[in-house]
This record gives sequence, structure tokens and C-alpha cells, in this order.
Amino acid sequence: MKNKIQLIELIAMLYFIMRSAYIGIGINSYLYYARVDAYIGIMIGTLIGLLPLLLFIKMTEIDVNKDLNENIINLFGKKIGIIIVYILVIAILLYASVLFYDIINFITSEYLFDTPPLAIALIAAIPIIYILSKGIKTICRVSIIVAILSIILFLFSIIGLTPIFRGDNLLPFLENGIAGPIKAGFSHTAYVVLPSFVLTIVPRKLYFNKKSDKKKIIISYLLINLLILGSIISVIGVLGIDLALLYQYPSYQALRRIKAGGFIQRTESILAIQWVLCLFMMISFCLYYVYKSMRFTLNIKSLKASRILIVSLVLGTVFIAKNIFHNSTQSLLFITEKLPFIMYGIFFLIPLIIYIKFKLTKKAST
Amino acid sequence: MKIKILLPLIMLFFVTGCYNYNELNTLAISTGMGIDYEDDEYVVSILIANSKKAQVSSKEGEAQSVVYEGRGKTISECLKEIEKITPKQVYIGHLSVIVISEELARKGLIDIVDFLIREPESIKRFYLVVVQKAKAKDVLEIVTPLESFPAQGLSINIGFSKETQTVASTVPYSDFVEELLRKGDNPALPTIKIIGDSEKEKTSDALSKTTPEAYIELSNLGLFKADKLIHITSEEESRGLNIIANQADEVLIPLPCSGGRLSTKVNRVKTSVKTKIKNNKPEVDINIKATATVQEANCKIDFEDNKVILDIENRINDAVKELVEKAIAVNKQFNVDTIGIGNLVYKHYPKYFNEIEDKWDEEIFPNIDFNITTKVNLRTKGSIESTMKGSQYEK
Repeated sequence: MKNKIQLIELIAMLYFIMRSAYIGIGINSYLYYARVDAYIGIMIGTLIGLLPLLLFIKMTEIDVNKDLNENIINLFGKKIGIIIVYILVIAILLYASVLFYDIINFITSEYLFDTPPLAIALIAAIPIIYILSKGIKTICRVSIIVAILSIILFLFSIIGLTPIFRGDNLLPFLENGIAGPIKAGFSHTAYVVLPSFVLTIVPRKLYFNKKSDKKKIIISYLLINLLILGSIISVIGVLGIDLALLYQYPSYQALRRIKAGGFIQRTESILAIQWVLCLFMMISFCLYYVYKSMRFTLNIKSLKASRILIVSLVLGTVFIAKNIFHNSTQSLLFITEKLPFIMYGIFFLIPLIIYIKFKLTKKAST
Repeated sequence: MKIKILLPLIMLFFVTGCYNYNELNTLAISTGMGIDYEDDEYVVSILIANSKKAQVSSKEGEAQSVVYEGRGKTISECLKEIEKITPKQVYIGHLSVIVISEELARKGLIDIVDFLIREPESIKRFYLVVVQKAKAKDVLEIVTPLESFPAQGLSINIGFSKETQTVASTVPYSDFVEELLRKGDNPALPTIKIIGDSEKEKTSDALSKTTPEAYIELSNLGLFKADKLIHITSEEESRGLNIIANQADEVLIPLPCSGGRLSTKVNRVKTSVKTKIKNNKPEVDINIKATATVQEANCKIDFEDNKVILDIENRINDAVKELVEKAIAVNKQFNVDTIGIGNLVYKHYPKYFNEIEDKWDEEIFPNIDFNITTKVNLRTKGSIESTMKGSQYEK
């Protein structure tokens, strides 16, 4: 009972996964595709995203006593199973590296202009190594604490931005038709919803099972999307679409405008902490997925070997993140043009294949 | 066990926060910047809050700031030139005002806007002003007796002007850039003038005088077509523009009165601008609501008669309407839409606007009909009920 995970902890992780992807890579794509209608794109994306979310929930029901990797190998056999596991591992590692790159880029472009990115990445890597070595229970407990902090800071930001919000900045409505918001909607699903696949690594037996779990997860998913919607509406409403498109980090620039009561101002650094926390938690969980999968496939059992694996994984991610893109333009091109296809191809098609295979196997056995 | 001891020790080196640090006394904190254009290059003047001297500011009469100048083809080049002169690193995170010379504003600002919005250190909320018929550098050099840093004085004055004068307007830099980028909109910036002999006011001796030899005066709004200054408005036109833009906290409306003059103060001005398309032509409704108080009444007038109050209200309404009409007229005269009517039309009728966008400034905007309605409510008459002149006559 003590080792079990509360559903709320899992929901907190879902919050980090979705928020971090929105902050790190999503917002610029939504604005690029749908411009002022980006918020409509998020609404569409929320609806589209329900499909993969339900698929992921169903996947956890394959064999509740086993984790995802065991289920994959059981369904596809060892050879094909390991190939599938490693395709997923590589994709998650790539995604974590893109997020890591983004966090380093944000810090170097807005705060520590002359600090080598490697120094920043190493500082971020130390707590990730620590948290990973402690296991899923610690990750989930940390996620609850950090989620509360992050939500409070987020609400402060929204309250601070309300007086300078201009509703007419959200017009014109659907100037270029619905195609842009639909593209943004699919991007939203790709960047924000599909990464929640990593949560399927937690075996169902580890958290409390109640009939209402599915309903609670869906409601939480909708609420998190509502927060994201509030965030993008406030960015467009405060900056206007032209400035929002101009800035590399429009949310951060919007936060810079907070001026409450004539004395609360320049709070952007405090409020921006929520992003760093979100990205930190997301990277930790992605690496936890990779660590669990590699430990399972390489059959690592000793504590020492596990720790070596964790340190190597984190340092490897740091190395990839530092070298993955030559510059921020290259990263933006990759994120907008290639990443959505990778996400759909790996985090939607593969889970769909796994689930269909499970259904077929089940049907054949009965 | 070893790793448990070693890891905290290694971490100590990472978390000291010493990497890339800057001590305050190694920074040249700039509070104001002036940009001129001479001989095909930019001349950037930086007003630096002299941090070392500021620590011993008790020295009577000592100037708290210093102005450095650098030349170059870009703003960055100019700043690098300045860093050759000053032993400190120029820090622009505390810029409160940027002064642009009229000559440069008329040439166009597009080449200087990029640096200031791109630079991560700059907060982008400083004010941008145009100095009329003078060098931007001269503005920064004028020592002000009431503020330690001239730029700070100017920035406070601009902010305060919104509340008291309604001639200048508070346009933070990012708002200027937004207006520059926005469809169907053109920016308007406040201007300033140097009154008197600026040369005599550049030394710290100037602080010992009770009457300054030269000072900076806030002037009227400058109208921009895209990034180029095309006209500087009159005081009334500026007030009208600020009323439309909801930038007027307080407007003084003087009225002729029997045997004297009546000053009324209009405040809590709320303007709503709405557009509609009628017969394929835009129409604009400007609705102004405000309250007014009597500030000074040097005439014989019966404030206890409600008809008189209503008459004053009507006259204030007419005066406000006239200010707004003048503001619209000057925009139409120079074929420039700084009110942002084009942007409103675009937001509500994007298809229509996209069709006529190219001829908006030249053909459509000058022929738009504006319906202006004003509703000013004269609420109070100050601390006294009648007028001093009226009471004297009664005696």
C-alpha cells in the first residue's frame, strides 16, 4: 500500500508533460499556424487529443501487473518487442533532448548570455540524476509539490496580466479560415498530448485502481488544456499577435509587462520559474522511461549498474541536447516541420499497433 | 560513501553563482539614450548613472550622471564605441527613456528599432520621445534640479503628463513597435523641446541657480507614417488624439465666461471607438464619457442655477468634441491613421480591409465619416458653491 502511487500524483505528471511541451515548443507553432486563432487551434487539439489519451488509458489495461515493456515483448516476441521498445526509447530520448535544448536556450538567451550552455545543462542534470536514482515514488511526490508551486505561480501570472489584457487583440476571428487552427490543433496533439505516452511506463498495479480513474484523468486533461488555453489567450491579448509572433518566448515577454498596484513589477523571473520546473519534471520523467526500458532490456539488476546507467543516460542527454541543433533556427525548423510527424508516427501509431495486436491476441485466445 | 562526500563538494563549485557575474560597480547603468543621425551614421549618446559617485552623492552640487557618445552604422557599433571610452560595461536594462532627434525621426526609425527589441537586457517598456529642432544628446546633458538623473526626470514627466496635461502620451517602446507592425495603424510619439540656452545648463553649476537657463518642455504628439515622422501636431490636436486613445486622465478645458474665464477639468475620460461598414464604406462612432469639475471661475456666474450647469456641460461637450474633430482632421490632412481605425476595421471586417488595405491611408481613411458623441457630466464645483467674483458683486 505504501509503495502505491496516488492518481493525483500521476495527474500532476500529466500536467507537467502537457505544460512543458506547450511552453517549450508548442506556443510558437500554434501562433505560426493559426496566428490570432491559436486558441481555437488549442480547442481543436484538445478534442483531437482525447483519442490518443483514451488509447493510452486502454494500453495500461493490457496486463495490469506488468509494465509496458513486458507487455510489448509478451505480445510481439523478444526480437520484434525489443525493436519496438528501442524505437520508443530513442524517440523519447530525442524528445527529452529537444526539451533540454529548449530550456538551455531559454536560460542563455534571456538570463545567462555568456555562460556556456554545458555549465547550465550540468547544473540541471544533477537534480535529475538524484531524482531518477530515487525511483518513481519520489518522482511522483516531487511532482505534486512542484505542481502546486507551478499552478500558484501560473495563477499569479494570469491575475497579473488581466489588467493589461485587451480583448480586441483576439480579433479577427478565423480570418484565414479553419485550416490554420486545425493545423495548430494537430500540432497541439503532437506536442502536448502524445508525449503523455511516457506515463504508460508506470504499471497499473502501482496506482490505486478505481472505476472513476478514467473519468478523473479525462477531467484533469480538460482542465490542463483549459490552463493552456488561458495562457495563450493572455499572451495574445496582452502582446497582440504581431508582437507575439515577433518574440522568441512570447509568454516570457508578456510576463515582463506585469505591473500590479504600481509596485509589483519585473516579476517575470519569479514567474518564469514555473516553466523551468515543468521542463525539469518532464525531462526527469522521460529519462525515467528510458532508464526503466533499458534496465529491463539489458537485464540490469545491481544497484551500482543502475546508477551508472542513470548517470550515463543523463549525461548522454546533456551531450545530445548541447549538440542536437546548431542554432535556434534549426531547432524551430525541426520542431515545426519534422517533430509532429515523428510524434504521430511513434507515439500514436506504435501504441495503436500494440493495442490492436493485444485485441487480436485476446480474441484468438478466447 | 565516497560519492556522497564527493558530490556535494563538486556541487559547491557549480552553485556559487560566480560564473559570468557582474558587480554593480563594473556596470555603467544607462538610464537614458539619445540617438542622432549625422554624416550618414548614428550618434548614440548614453546617459550613465555614475554609480561610484552616486555612493558619495552627499557632495553638494556634484553631477550624478555622465553622458558618453559613440558613432557607428548601427546602434551596437555605437555602444561598442562607448565601451572603448568608459571603463565599465554599458548596461541598458534600466533605460527609462530614449530620445530621438527630429532629423532621424523624419528619416525613419526602422533601422534602430531592431536592436532595442532584440536585446534581451532591455525591458522594452521605456519611453520613446522625439526632440524638436535639437540634438538628442543635448537633452540628456541638461541637468535637472529636481531629479538626480535627467532621463529619470524626463520619463517621470512624460508619465505624469498623462495625468495632468494630456499633451504628451505614454508610449512604451514595445507599444510603438506593436503599432508599427499592426495592420491599419500608425504610431504617434510624444515630442519634447529644449527651451533656453542648453549650453549653460550642461554644467553642475546650473544646479545652484533658482531659475534654470534651459529646461526640457513636453510638447505635442508627432504623427508617424510607418516609421517616419511626418508632422508634429498642435496642442489641441494632441489632446484630441489622447482623448481618442484613452490616454487622457485629465484635460483642462478653458471656457469664456461673462466678464472673465472659466476653467474646467475633464477627467475619467472613457472613449469607445466602434466601426461599421455602410454602403461599402466604413463609418466610425466615437463615444466619449467623462466627468468634469470646475477648477477656476473668474467671472460672475450662478452655479446654483441648474440651467447654467447644463449650459456649461454642453459647452464642455462641444469643446471636447472640437478637440477630437481637430485630431481626426490632422490625421486626414496628412493621410495617416494614427488613431488605429484601420486596425479596428481589419479586426471586425478582415475581408473588407484586406481588399482596400493598399488604399486605406490615401483614399479610404480621409473620406470616413466620424460620428462623435460626448457625454461629460459636470459633477462638482470644487470647495466653494458660488464664485469669488460673484460674491464680491453681491456685496
